[in-house]
Amino acid sequence: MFDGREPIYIQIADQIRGDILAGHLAEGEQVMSTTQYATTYRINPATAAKAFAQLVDEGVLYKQRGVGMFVAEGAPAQLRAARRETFLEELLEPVLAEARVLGITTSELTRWIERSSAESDLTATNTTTEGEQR
Amino acid sequence: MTSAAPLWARTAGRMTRASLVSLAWFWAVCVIAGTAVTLVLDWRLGEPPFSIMSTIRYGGIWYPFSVALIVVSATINVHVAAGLTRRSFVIGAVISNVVIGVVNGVAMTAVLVIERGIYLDQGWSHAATSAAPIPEAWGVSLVFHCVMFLAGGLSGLLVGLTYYRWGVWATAALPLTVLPPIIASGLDPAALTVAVIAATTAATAVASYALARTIPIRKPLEIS
Amino acid sequence: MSGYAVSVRDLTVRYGRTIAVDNVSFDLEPDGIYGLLGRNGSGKTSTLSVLASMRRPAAGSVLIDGVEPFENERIMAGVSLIRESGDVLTNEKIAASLSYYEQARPTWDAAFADELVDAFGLNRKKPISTFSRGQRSAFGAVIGLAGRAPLTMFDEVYLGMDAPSRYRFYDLLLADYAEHPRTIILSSHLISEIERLFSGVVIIDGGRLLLNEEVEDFRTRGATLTGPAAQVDAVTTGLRVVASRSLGPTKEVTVYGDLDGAALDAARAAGVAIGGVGVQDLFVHLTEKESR
Repeated sequence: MFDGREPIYIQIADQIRGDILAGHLAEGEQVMSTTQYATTYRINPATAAKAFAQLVDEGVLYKQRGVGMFVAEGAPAQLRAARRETFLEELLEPVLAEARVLGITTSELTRWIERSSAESDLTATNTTTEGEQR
Repeated sequence: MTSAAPLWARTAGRMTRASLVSLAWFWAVCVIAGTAVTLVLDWRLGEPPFSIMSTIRYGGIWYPFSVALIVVSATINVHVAAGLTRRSFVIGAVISNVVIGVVNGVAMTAVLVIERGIYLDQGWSHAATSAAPIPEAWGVSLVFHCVMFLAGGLSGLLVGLTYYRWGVWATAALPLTVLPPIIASGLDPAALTVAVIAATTAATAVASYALARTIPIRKPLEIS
Repeated sequence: MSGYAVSVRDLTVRYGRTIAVDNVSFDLEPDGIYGLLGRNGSGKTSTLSVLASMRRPAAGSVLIDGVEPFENERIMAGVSLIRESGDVLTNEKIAASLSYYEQARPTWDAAFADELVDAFGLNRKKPISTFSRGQRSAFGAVIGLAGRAPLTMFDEVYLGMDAPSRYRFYDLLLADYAEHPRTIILSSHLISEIERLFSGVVIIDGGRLLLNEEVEDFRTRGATLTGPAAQVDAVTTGLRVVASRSLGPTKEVTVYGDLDGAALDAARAAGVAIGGVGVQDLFVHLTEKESR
């Protein structure tokens, strides 16, 4: 955990954003305190505090004096919107550039995307039916 | 907690309290042994040839000497590691040794006065060996023994500090560092002798202070 | 009470003719957790000994809270160095040492000390001389933590402990630090377990200062670049390479220094993977090079 090259506080902030997007942390839910976070992951409390401060600045978390920090209303939607932008720009663009270099055509790409989406939809349906059967 | 008292006073208090316990044992053992020897000599010879209790003086010099020596090597690192100054350590140790010396001097004088009473009561002569003269007046005896025992304790402190600082090389300084108790254990209680012992003892205390103020704290010996 | 600032100025420590610390200078802000890293015999312990007033420098000086600490009652009472060998009353039970430290340190927390003794499972009924190396180290940890000194230093204390005790120590240290911030220095050559605890690192090697940086800067300056040898060589020319190994046509290079974003993007585009380097790895690489 936190093995990347970015400063650890950025990795922590990313992890919390991820938890909110994935629904592990719901809107209005209390997040761990800086101290709890620091002791749980054995990191410097100042580093954890820096990550939390960044998220408060972004409006993803809000502070309630003397109680703790909570996930802001609308945080998942806000994060999703931001992620969509970066997804297209930072993740998809390089893929498309690489495809161009390799001579993969747009129609080949579209076919691939459609097939892969269909598969993941299928697995999604399967899991739900299995879950319902139990 | 007397945290308002200066560091050296607290240090002196703790060192003295720790020494007094072992000192009580020392006197109990000495007096019991001395009494036993006196009774045996009375039984075998009809009369002890000299004051048996006066021989306790050698223990009174060298026992505090060895205690002071051990206290330095066993606790100066703990003292400084606990955030206390060398100054408080050495002043505390000097004061503690002075108190112990006086307590021993008083105890020695009291034991001799009582022994003298018993001897005279029995019709024995309360004489001394040539190596261990006894002053007749209890006041002179008190000063004599206090200074003598002080010389032992303070010399132990100085010897401990020289060895802590220089290791085996401190052996070269031994003729100087143990001078006061050597003088004290051999001479008769003339005023001049007492003055000489007192002066060398004072010099020992000053030397200890000078030596301790800058002493490096070694790594404690690994025992495992 | 919060932590003390530390300033080391041109510090030199000598043992006879041996120079243990050679003209070292660095500053530490109050209330950080610092790693003092160096290989064995690099001068870590000598530096800490001067900070703890255990010895005087041959030249230069140290300032703690702006004051020279040697024989200063106020500063010494607030500075604690736990040495691996343990400055304790060895022939007595732990209670004797605990009471010695309690009466000496104004910041001592006796109840916390008791908790810690239980947390490490130390025997109260036997003299310390019967303890194992690990138990002695744990007792050192108790004294260092319960003292809550504004400058608390642990010199390789946790090396003697077994893994569960070490992790207990890190957790207790972190939890107590969060509640009672103070300046903490942990010295070691084995730091992979605790490198994320540090806010800053000081690296000394062969008695000289190699590095003194905020840990985030230190980490982000290091990178491993892995990819085809030619591409890797192309992007690493002009950078400070601290380690390099070849795996057939693939090459992995560890670099240290200011890496600009454009160069990294170019490297990525050329099929070179960029990864992070742990503080421990960087430390090993840096000291390997410098000591030659």
